[in-house]
Amino acid sequence: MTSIVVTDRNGTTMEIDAYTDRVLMETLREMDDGVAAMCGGMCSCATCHVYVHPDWLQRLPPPDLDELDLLEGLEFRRDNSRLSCQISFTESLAGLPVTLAPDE
Amino acid sequence: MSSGPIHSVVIVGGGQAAVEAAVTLRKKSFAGEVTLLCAEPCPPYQRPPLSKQLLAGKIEPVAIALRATAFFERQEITLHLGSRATHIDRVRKTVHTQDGERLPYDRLLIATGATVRRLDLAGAQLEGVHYLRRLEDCLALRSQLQDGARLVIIGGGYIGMEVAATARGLGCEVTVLEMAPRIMARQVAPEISALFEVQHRAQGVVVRCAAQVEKLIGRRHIEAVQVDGETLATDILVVGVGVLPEVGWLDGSGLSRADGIEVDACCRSVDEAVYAAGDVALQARGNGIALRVESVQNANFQGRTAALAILDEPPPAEEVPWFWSNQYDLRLQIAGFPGPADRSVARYYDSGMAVFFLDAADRMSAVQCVSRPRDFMLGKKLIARAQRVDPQHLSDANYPLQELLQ
Repeated sequence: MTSIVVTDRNGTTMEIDAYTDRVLMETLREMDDGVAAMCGGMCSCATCHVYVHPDWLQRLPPPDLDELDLLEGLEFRRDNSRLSCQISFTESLAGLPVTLAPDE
Repeated sequence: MSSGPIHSVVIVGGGQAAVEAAVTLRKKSFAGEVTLLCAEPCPPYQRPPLSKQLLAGKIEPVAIALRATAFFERQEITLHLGSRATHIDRVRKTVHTQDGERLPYDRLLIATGATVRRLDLAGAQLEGVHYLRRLEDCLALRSQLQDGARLVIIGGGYIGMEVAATARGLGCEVTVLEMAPRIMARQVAPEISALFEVQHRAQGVVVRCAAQVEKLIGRRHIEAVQVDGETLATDILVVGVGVLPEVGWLDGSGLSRADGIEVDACCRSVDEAVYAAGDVALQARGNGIALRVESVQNANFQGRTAALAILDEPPPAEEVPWFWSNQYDLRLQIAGFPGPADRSVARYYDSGMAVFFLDAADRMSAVQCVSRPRDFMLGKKLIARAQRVDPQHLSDANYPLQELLQ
């Protein structure tokens, strides 16, 4: 299995199995206190906002303009913010550390 | 207050509200039985892609599942697929299904959603007349949308215009017939309707507003539509003229009226053991008027609200209602409900635009954005704060809107 390291909104860090060749959001929304991902990955709602560990950011394809625009509107945006519905998760990203952003 | 301990929650429905309620019950450590009665044969799925990516063939049905099947198993959420509820016995607290099953419940959540409004016209029964609500509708239509096929769409609302954009992308010749003077008239400001209409025309869609459809013509299969006295040949017809709440099965239960199931702020019906959420629920909004809201956000929010109320937990934090639509590369995002007397202020950019709605005290009530997610997120916050805004700032595209949040 390919796992990721997730820190939830209570600050608890855990290793969980992630779906590969699907977007990261699909794994995160199944967690007990996971992302809402309300628009189902349409890049329309920004309710799957995560912080990617800065050391790993460069390994992800950069966000497109739509994602950047949505991120810009977020109050809790940081330099390492991403929308998890726009991150294709593959085996090469095993061990990816992400933190769930607070609800807006 | 609630009546007795809760061992079993039955949820009638298999959409967003139903799943969100089931998931919330488990997240809040509810240990009793959770059963979903899904009328459709497939596991719960998202509907928005039915008129967009799935219809376009860009994705397959597996990609629109609301949750993986293994997730429901792990969470011990029992799915009865292809199981249609036909009747409720409120005294014995049982739900009856088409297959003759009787499921006892301690609490019942009705999340049966809506069903398409059908055309009442000569020829409406012809083959090749499509509606779009369920996965099977989408797949049936998708198989017909071939390059060069002629498609007439009756109804220029979200569904009609999304199908128009998708079908055009597949090379169909598309005509949209809308009864109102403009497309998406019920959903958006005139400026936004105009922007979308221009884009559809630029893409080669024929948009006819104020059109009166008289009849559908064909022997077995649709061949033409008669509109304003003129005959328009077509291979495929799609009808998108709205939906009606799925309440027919509740006739005589005392729970529903023709326009939905009335619920209080925590989604409880007149029967304290029965709740309703999603497209089917009529709930009083801020202005006191009971509304059914057809949106993913509302379905999720009410599903969560009902689940928390069932468990006697505090309600979720309030949310500003929001909606979206995608047509071509235009992204429509809407938040809030404009009041009938609210004025609108448009903000134009080189690409995209926003229309803000202000009440008599200049407090923001709604925002409608095209391809301006930043304005949308910001507007949503201003609505939540019921903040007073200077309309001149809104119409001046050079004024940085972030300043308003300070």
